[in-house]
Amino acid sequence: MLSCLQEFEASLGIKIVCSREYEPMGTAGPLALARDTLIDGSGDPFFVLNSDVISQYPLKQMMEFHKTHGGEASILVTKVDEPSKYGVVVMDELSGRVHRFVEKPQVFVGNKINAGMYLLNPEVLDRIEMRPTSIEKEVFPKIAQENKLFAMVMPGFWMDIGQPKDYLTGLKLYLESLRKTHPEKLMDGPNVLGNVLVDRSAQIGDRCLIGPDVCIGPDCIIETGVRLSRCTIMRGVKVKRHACILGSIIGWHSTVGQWARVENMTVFGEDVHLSDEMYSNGGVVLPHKQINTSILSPKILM
Amino acid sequence: MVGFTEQFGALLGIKITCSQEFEPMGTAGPLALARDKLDDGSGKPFFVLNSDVISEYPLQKMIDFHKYHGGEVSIMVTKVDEPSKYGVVVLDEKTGEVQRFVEKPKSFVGNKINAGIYLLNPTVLDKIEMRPTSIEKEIFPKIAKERNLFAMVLPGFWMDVGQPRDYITGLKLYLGSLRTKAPDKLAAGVNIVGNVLIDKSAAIGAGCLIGPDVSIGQNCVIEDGVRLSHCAIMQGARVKKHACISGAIIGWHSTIGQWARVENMTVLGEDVHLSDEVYSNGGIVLPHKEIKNSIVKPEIVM
Repeated sequence: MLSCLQEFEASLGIKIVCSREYEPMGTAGPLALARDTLIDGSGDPFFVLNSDVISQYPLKQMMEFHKTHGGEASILVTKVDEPSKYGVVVMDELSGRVHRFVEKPQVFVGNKINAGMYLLNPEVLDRIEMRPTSIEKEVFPKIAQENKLFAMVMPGFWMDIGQPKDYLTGLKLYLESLRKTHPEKLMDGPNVLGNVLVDRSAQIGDRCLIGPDVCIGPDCIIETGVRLSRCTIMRGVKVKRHACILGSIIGWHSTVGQWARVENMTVFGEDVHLSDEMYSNGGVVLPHKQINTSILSPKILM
Repeated sequence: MVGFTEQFGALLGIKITCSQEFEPMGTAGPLALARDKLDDGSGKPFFVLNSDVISEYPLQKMIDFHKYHGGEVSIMVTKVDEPSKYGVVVLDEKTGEVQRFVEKPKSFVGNKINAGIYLLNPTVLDKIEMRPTSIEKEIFPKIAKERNLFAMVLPGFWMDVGQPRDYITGLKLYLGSLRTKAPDKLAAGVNIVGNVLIDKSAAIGAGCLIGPDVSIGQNCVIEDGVRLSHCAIMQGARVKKHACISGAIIGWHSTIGQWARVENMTVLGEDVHLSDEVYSNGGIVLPHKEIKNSIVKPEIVM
């Protein structure tokens, strides 16, 4: 992970620092833990971004919104069809001021939920004790009571991608968004269907059919005659000839054998190798494994 | 089927006639029904061959054996490991004279069973009434009592190929026998593994891997990058690019789509079309069907 971070530091020209929890600190505790790194004395607010979501990250808009209302904390909210599954944010539609949070409401109180992206003034850190603390349940409600918490409705798509299935939906939304904003980043050609994103270092063989909703990472090798649809192929993966992968996630440096078939929300961890001609129907495979027999029905392989 | 008989008649320089039963006549009745065709007045014996078996058909040896013992009927018997599943033939090991038949014996009486290949003198026809009759249960025991029934142990392989799984086993045995007796009939090359029989009119694409134990019929088209093993591809079938078939029987004029996967004793009848990327796990599909969705577990599709 460290070398991955170094790569990004170099390519983006920024400094990346990790703060390590030795015991779980909840969703607010880690901020207190990293206090010294977060406060630089300038009084500038800092972003808090949950990494199990994907969206268009309208960070500049969020900064302007924060300046305009002058409150202590800004959060992004997103509209959903089934708010009862989430924590609903009840807010003033005009000003964005947050009244309260209701966790999994039984009756309809609103359809905006916490999108997991925050912009916080450094003073927020004074409210967080160095113990396991929930930012949504303990810290934000206090700030809301003081009328200092404001919510902005997320423009564009948002997806909680914590579950593999949702990860693939999030990928689809992300690629659709890319099609509108930066279509030149997507792959084109007779071997491509729909929206497909391929890292420039990946190699694609001839006579493949790739897409829709596929993303292929750095240094991947996709051999001749491969079919990929609705899947994510992580860095360094090799997919051998004539294989067919549908609706799945293939982890870093894994291999999918010749004529293999992978489908139905199969997830391979890092360094998983599926032998030639094997079938995986929803297998969830932990890292560093060789799979020599077919996985006929969804199950976890440890 | 008429076209088939005409084709083979021409090819082999013989006359093929069909006798049609309008009601089921058992295993002996049909012989009485076809009497006029079977008895040409010459007194020469005629073969009766059940078509749901496969063996090396040592017909000349059988003729010699029949002449030698001078009895009315010769039958082939074959050695099996589990005789209790079949009709066992109890015979004199030296002369081959059949003493009696025991259907599915509970205790061991012998390990030779009726292989379904007979050589009969025309006089047998006088013993068969024009009604549903069983040759094994009614006719042969009578002839055996008269000490006129003799059995020869079948040299080489034998298989009852009535069930699809056994058909594939029979294919394997047959190809194994070809490898010993007429290896030049089998396919060879970098794309071939083990014993493979390909009709000269079939077209095989580039980058395929075929075998072991595969037979490909007349006018089949096997496109590029196809994997076939343990299967029979009937006349006129087309297997599209990158598909993978293992342990299956693909019926006449059927199609297997691109990147499809077919396995686990799938049987497709005549004119069955499996769409691109579809999976069949032991599907049994009746004729004249289009299969657009995967068959995930063994079932009959009507």
